[in-house]
Amino acid sequence: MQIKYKKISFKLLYYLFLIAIILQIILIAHRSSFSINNFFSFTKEGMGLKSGIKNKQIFNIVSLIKKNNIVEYNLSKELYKSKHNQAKIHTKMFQRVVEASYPSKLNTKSQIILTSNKSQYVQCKEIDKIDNIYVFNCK
Amino acid sequence: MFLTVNKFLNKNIINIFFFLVFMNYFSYFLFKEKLFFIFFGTLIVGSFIFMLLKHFQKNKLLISVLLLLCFISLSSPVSDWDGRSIWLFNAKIIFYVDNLKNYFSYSPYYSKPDYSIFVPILSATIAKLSGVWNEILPKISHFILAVPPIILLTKSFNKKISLFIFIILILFVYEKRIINGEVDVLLSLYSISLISLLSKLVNDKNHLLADYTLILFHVIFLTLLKMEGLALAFCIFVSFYIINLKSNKNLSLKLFFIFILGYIPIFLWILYTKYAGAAGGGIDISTVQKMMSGGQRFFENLFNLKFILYLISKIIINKQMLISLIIFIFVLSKYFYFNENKKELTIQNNLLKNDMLLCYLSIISYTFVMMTIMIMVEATPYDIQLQFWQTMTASDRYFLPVHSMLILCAINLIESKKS
Repeated sequence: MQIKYKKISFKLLYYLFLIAIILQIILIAHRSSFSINNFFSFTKEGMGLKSGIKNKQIFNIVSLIKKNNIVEYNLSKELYKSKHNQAKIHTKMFQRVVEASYPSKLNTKSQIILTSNKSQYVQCKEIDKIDNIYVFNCK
Repeated sequence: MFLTVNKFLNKNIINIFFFLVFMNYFSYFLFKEKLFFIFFGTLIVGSFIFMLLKHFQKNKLLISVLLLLCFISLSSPVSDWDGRSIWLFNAKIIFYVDNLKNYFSYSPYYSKPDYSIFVPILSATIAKLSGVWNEILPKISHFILAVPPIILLTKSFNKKISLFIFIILILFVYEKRIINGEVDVLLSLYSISLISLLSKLVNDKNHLLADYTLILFHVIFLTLLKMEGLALAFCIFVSFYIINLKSNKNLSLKLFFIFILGYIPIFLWILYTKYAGAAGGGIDISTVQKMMSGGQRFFENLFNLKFILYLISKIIINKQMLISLIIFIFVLSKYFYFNENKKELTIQNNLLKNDMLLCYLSIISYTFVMMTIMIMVEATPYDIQLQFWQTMTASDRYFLPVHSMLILCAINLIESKKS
């Protein structure tokens, strides 16, 4: 009788453990921004960019750089504003744009400027825009 | 013929896998054309799949969990900072630039271009197999590297409970870090796998060449993964010598040569970044030097009681440490008992076996080294200007090897108990 009791309790523990494993795997998937669409296209170019960046404004900037085949670009100052008054290089804007737009490169001397403040560049030629992000050529 | 090849593959697949990964890394320094990426990439992925399939028959539960994690990894982007801004970005540069010299030509300092490119090269290799760059596929390289030590460790488990505890380590301690493109989990897995291999080598009288090559690859990979790996490998070997130098002189000498040999690739990389990196100009000050600033802040931070208390609390009070400690103490408690009169406390011999001592010493020495480093690093002028930023954001991650070693201790204790 005692042996039977032991067997049942081990089985019960085993199933409880399996349930815990499944729940934890679901949690890991949720925290990793899991999407089944990503799985069906994990060999396509640029997949995961939007969900990885998690910021619409940065995604728009990167999309504009890629769409217009911009080799070198500069970002307007107002884009670097952050809550903690961080230096430009520490901002999410700087880092995400540099990483996601590569092999296009950020160059502070570039005449191609991306901005959210259109009025600053009235003398330049507008090339393209997505929502409130504009690309100007200031040659 | 087929049977012989199959037998050889079955026995040596992990060594073959390590050899391929290392040759792929090494070839990047030799050849300008990246055709070898396709060659080695195909073989690496092939041997990885073979490894999983071969082990599936023996351990269905573990491999099913790993396959599910692999599926999640291939269905999710990289969004965490270290994974994105260091490892994946460096891999992206390797993917696009034509040769190593140009690797340094466009690297903002925050991406830490002088960090070893061992994992980024494998990520770029995987991306080359698909022919395009995206934010999903390349990070699978981290998971691919994590599987061999997992298989090595679980191979020798004789009790189901050990496997369950190991799965708890993977799912509840490592969590998404095993698939999110960071290398800290790899450091942890390779360190406990190295401890386990060294213990086996001491206990086993018949040493095969394959055992030594496995240890050599572990040291090479540990040191090439990340700078902390140098400290980890050093701590493990020093602990090993403290315990075994007198009783195993011959083995200790052999392992000393392996240890020296294993450090050569990382020293070559450090020399390369110093003198040949940055398009021939070299990188004047490495990331580690920048962060530590020659230890100038050490005493200032050490005597800042508020900081020290904060550091200790951050190291101890986090989910990963608590899970590991609870499991370890729970298993440990079975080895202490009072005699019949309840006057004497008895400790079982298992607690002080050589493999257990190696674990304890590695934990103590690595904790000491990491705490010293963290005291030096805090308030680096390159940090974001938030108080105790480094400690706040990295202490649980830096101590993942310690969490893993605690779990390894618990598993060793369980395995050493006669059923």
